[in-house]
Amino acid sequence: MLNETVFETAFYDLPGQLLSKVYFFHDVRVTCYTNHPWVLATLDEMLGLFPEPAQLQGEITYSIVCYERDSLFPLQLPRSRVRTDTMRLLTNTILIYYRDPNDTIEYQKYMALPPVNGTSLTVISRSQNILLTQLEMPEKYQASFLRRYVFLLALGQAMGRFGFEPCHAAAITTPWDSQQGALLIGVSGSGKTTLALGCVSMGWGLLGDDLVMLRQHAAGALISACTITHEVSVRPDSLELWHTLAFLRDYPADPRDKRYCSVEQVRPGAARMHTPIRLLLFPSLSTETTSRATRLSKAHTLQMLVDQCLSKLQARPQSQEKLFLMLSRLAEQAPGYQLAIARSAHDGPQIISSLLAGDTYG
Amino acid sequence: MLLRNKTVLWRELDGEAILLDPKQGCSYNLNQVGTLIWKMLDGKHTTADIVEAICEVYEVEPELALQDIELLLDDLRSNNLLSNGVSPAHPGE
Repeated sequence: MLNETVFETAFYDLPGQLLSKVYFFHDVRVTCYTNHPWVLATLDEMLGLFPEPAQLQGEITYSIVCYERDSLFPLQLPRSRVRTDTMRLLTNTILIYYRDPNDTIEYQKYMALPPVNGTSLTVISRSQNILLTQLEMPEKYQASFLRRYVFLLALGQAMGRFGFEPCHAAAITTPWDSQQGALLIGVSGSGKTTLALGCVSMGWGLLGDDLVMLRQHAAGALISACTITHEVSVRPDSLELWHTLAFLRDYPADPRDKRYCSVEQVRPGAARMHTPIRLLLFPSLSTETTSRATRLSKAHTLQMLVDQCLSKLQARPQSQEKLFLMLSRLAEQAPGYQLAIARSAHDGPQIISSLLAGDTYG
Repeated sequence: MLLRNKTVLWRELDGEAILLDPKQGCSYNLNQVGTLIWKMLDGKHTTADIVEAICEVYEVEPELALQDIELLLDDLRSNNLLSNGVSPAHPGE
């Protein structure tokens, strides 16, 4: 059984001095411990933007401990375990999800596939709000990888306890009302980031370009999109499309040729924390000269939400049922459209404006 | 009597049902006729009951309705969406 005492073993003979800092992630207090100053600087960038909430809903303790090599990790994968999912992330990087047979602990293990990354193992207790990430020295990683795929995935998973559901989507708000939100849902390369960043260039707010959290704060309330990070990742073709991103040409690119910056660098004042979802968009890139929106039935909208959002990550039946119910409500709450994005994509923001204003298409 | 697989999550929206098999991670979309059939797979209705219900709602011959029902039931069975241990019912049961 994993408990606080077991987690404390991670701190025995800890290399380096233990540092701590308190952050807020929406209405959850996150107390972080680490033995590496770089980790705190990174967490400042990730979580420093979130203000202290008026009302606190709960607490998480997140420890990120660095070791010279993974054989020194005090907590290792148990012999008896269930593999629940495998994801290929960056080039040569694989994330494998496990849980223990009692379904009380989750593990997120990154395979060490040099030269891209070292190894990490995140351990999440289901019964307590404790999580621990063990890393080989952070110098072995790309910073963007650690932020996006290690720290945020771990925190996002832990936030499930407070009603937040991670969702692979972009979310934007209109320039005229930050309570008018649209969710752009699609696989990598479908154009959601391109379109979201184009909207930001034209005065829209942004909650996330690739990953957000969904939450229904109270029974009967609208389902909202909540930001998980204000870092955006930009492909080379987006640099060509949107002149406000031109400054990124001088930034270093990762192995997938993506460049990273904060949404505030794209347009100061564009960052948003949460918004009710009024529109569901399923973008895809087309070769047409103009973009086109096609209305979906509620059932088709739900099916697309399920196909995109409900993966085997939610391997526990209770989690699947909870998320299915939330997606069903979302399909009833907001109309769904397939959006074929034209090559230039410049008419995308205008079409989204029209859809939010209630104009009919398709 | 016919019974849908209890582990399958489903929701009806505007007369169309979306089914999710959590074990396989697969979703299915049923049209309005399929949804009517699905809702009657509650362990209380026979295939004959379903034929009768469809013929009441839609202008269709019983033979054709039965053919459509059996096609759908075969699909449901092959995708593990029907409960095991329940014998397929036939008209006249």
